[in-house]
Amino acid sequence: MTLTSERIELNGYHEWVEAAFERGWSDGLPVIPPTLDRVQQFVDYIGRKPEESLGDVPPKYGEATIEKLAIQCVMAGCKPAYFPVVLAALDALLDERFNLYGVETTTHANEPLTIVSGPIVKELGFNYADAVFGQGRPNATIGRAIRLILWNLGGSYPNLNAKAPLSHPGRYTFCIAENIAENPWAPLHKDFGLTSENGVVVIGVESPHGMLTLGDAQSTLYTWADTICRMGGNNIQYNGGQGLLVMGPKVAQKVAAAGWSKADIRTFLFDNARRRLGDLRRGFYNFDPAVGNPGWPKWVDQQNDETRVPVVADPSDLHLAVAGGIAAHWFTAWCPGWGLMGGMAVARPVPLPKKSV
Amino acid sequence: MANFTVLDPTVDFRGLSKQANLAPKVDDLNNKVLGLLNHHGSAVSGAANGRDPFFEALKSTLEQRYKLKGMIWRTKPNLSRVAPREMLEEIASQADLVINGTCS
Repeated sequence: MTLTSERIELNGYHEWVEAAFERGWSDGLPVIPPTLDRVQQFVDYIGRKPEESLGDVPPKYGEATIEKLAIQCVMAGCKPAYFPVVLAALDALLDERFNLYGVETTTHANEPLTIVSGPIVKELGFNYADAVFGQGRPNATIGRAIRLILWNLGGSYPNLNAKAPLSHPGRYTFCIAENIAENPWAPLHKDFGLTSENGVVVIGVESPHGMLTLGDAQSTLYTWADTICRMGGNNIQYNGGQGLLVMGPKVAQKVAAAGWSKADIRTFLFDNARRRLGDLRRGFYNFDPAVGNPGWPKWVDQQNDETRVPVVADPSDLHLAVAGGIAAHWFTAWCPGWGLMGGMAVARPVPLPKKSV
Repeated sequence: MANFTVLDPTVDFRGLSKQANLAPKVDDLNNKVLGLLNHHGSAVSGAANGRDPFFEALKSTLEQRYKLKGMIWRTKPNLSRVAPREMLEEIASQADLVINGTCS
């Protein structure tokens, strides 16, 4: 299995660090040198031909071969055992439903988030507890590998084709893991019909918005409903998109103990996360009552100011994950989606790691 | 650290953005088939539900100024997705030039 990428000689580590920036191989953070031996370890671990392709990566459509993907993983600081997770996440990102081309080039500040579930969370040592959107080697480096793939193979460059004026810090790395032991329900990937033990779900979302819920289950759900249908969100303006709630484990347990299933939560939020049409009309930039908002479901009566418009077009558009630490019984993160344009959640199974490398 | 060898992480992009060259400029719109490609729901053009005030004004202005041979106007089904290939092939095969609005 011969590696065919161009080989470049460098004189020492610091020359590498600067060369990676000067050649445009990194997006701003230092990267690990993809030496021949280290890249070969990743290719050997995955057991696939280096020239095998997973497809072309938008927006500039560079080919994602196993070899080039292994190089990005090395640069990100992954272990070889993380490689299957990266491949599963990329396969999901390249699914038509996700619209990676749009996610990477839109002006909206959604970025691809990867959520990992199953026994692999503990086996690979993900941080699934405190500051789950923050530190942890698998979290950080797998998320980083995905970003480097989008950089070096996708050619997604701010000030060229990535046109979000603001974006968010998830553009450097954006990967979390579910807290399996504390999750009162089935893991996230099972909601997508996967039967595999391990899975990844990708979804295009804004940065997480914290929600404080000090009360009981019912008040918690009302607070969520009020927060997620904010007027400035793409979800309600471009209905037909999706969103993600990441519940702290103790919040999830509180709600589950009161008898709520995930389906119950989705139904409640669909019924209650709504805004009065008359109020929305005051805020929308181009809402013309004679034309209506084409993003909303047909059953929304757009001629009646008292119509209550839902945040999503269907309860199944709300995804529910359980992650984070157990220090608080009151925090949940709402990760708003992009709306009907894309970033739809896609799940893929992840094979169990062969060995710890 | 001594000398060491790394592998180039980049690839040749295969997308249109690399292959595409600027088309020759059209010096006269008279007797040309004009293509218009827009999308629904643009905040810029004010498009919604098939109405697009900007493109409608553009179309009207060009029709008044030139004797167009014909016109083909297609609207993308999703403002943030690439237009379907069939739509692109249709408009490219019929039009002498295409004005692509605020599409991605």
